[in-house]
Amino acid sequence: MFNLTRQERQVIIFLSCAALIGLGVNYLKKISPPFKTFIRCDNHLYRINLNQATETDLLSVQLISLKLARSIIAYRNSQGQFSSLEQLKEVKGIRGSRYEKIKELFFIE
Amino acid sequence: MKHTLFILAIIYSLGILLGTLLKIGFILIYILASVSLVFSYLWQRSSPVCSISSYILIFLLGIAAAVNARILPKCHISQYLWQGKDSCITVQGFIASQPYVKYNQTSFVFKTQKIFLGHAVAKSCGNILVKLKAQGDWLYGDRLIITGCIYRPFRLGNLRRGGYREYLARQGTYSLMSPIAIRRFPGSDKKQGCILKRFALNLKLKIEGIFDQYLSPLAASILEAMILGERRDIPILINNAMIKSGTVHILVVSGFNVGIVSSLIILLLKLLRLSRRTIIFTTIPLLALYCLITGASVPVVRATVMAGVFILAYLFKREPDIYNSCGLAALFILAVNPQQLFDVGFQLSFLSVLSIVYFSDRLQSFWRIPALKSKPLKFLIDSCFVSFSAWLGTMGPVAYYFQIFSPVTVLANLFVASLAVLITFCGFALVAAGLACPFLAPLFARSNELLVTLLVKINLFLVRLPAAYFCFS
Repeated sequence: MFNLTRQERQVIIFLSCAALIGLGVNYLKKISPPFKTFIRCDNHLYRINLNQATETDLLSVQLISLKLARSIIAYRNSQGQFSSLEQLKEVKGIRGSRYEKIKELFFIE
Repeated sequence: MKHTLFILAIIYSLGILLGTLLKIGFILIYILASVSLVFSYLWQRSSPVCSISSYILIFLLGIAAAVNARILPKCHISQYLWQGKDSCITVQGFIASQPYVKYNQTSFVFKTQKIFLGHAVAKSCGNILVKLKAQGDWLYGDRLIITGCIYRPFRLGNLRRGGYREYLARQGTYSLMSPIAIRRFPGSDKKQGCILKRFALNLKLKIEGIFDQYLSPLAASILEAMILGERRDIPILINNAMIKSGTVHILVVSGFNVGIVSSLIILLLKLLRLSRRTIIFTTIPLLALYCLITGASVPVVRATVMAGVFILAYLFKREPDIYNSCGLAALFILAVNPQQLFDVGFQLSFLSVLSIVYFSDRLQSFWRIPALKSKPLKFLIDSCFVSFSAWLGTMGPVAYYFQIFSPVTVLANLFVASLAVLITFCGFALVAAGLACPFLAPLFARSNELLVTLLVKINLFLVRLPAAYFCFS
């Protein structure tokens, strides 16, 4: 009942061979890359330049509302460009905990 | 042998089961499988020895696939879970699923490509399920940079089904993220992901728009579930009533829906008087597109593969074997993702089909139904047997996983499944009218409203019958 025909056996051997090669390559790919190969990267790639940020850029931060984004831009227009991230604390609505959470998302240039 | 693929699928599944239960090293299994392959090749001329060796080879391949599925790449994003609850990471990648919004919360699967830690960047891979309390105009394929905290999913939910963490792991997602910042990749509007999937998802959005435009929220939610497999808007009361009556399978896209869609496509193409070959080679890609639109869930993939086998058998004028086509579909799904073996949808989908095939024929022969002369009576009894067979096959797993036993299922399916066929046909007519001639759409919309109301009322009536269902918890 469980005897396979010659054609069935050939197909099984061929497909199993392909599957085995595939599994082997997949396994090697999984274990081959080194755990962490960090390289230094440009700030622009993952942070927002506070002195050039538009309203849309600022709104991409979940902790910044439309009102707060406008306040930041208004502060920048009135006081000139930011010289340090600490200046963000002077914007109305950005105090201790919120500042700590968002400071990593910006940089000054 | 008569059911080769079916037996191979069972042996492969047993291998996956053993590979998951036991902690075996991949290299050891790989060497054993290679030896078995060489042995099968060398003993090709000896039928019994080669057959046994081939079965062992398939079994070992199942174990190797299960063990390999557990191994995560070293650059996988879940390796960064040690970052802790309060530390944030920034990842770059693209949206790998259609974002959906519910209760002002947006969720989507995000495929990571790079990770930023401090001033350094590294290559990463793997998916994250992103959940944020905001609405945005994001779409599948959008390239984003997300900053947020990643964490392991909770082990909540029905633990008999493995809990939420295991459920996500089976989908290839091992971590969640609550973003604090999301922005588009600077200077690039180019989208990523599969073009065909993007096309399918755009089409799905268009169809959802048609339902929302012409139908009431209740009818639109049921049509979206039945035709597009999108269940998020179904009222919880209706969903619970369908679970209790055992008819919830019509609210997900399953083999039932794929069957209707394929017959609808073939019917339309036949009306155009196309040749048999053209009909077949048009139907198969259209079914694959439908599979993508509905999210390529296990029952849909199973039904699409089976439908493909049946259609090709029709082309080559061969008698299709339902057990073998079932086995082929199972092998296809398990080769892509071996962990699907433990998915409730996978188990129920295959069990229902196999029990319908096994019990229905035997019941018909036992009661000598083919000898009946009245065609309507024969059709009615056949439908009863199909419903009863599916119920018989899935009763055990349903009671175990969902803690519910519904004797009313057989009766409910007779009415609800018939109405579901009509609703699906009317739904597709509404889509066609909405796309081609919108002035006709309200006409089909009214029919849909009527049929959906009937479906809901009949279902509620059946659930209220005495001893309709028993809950264990």
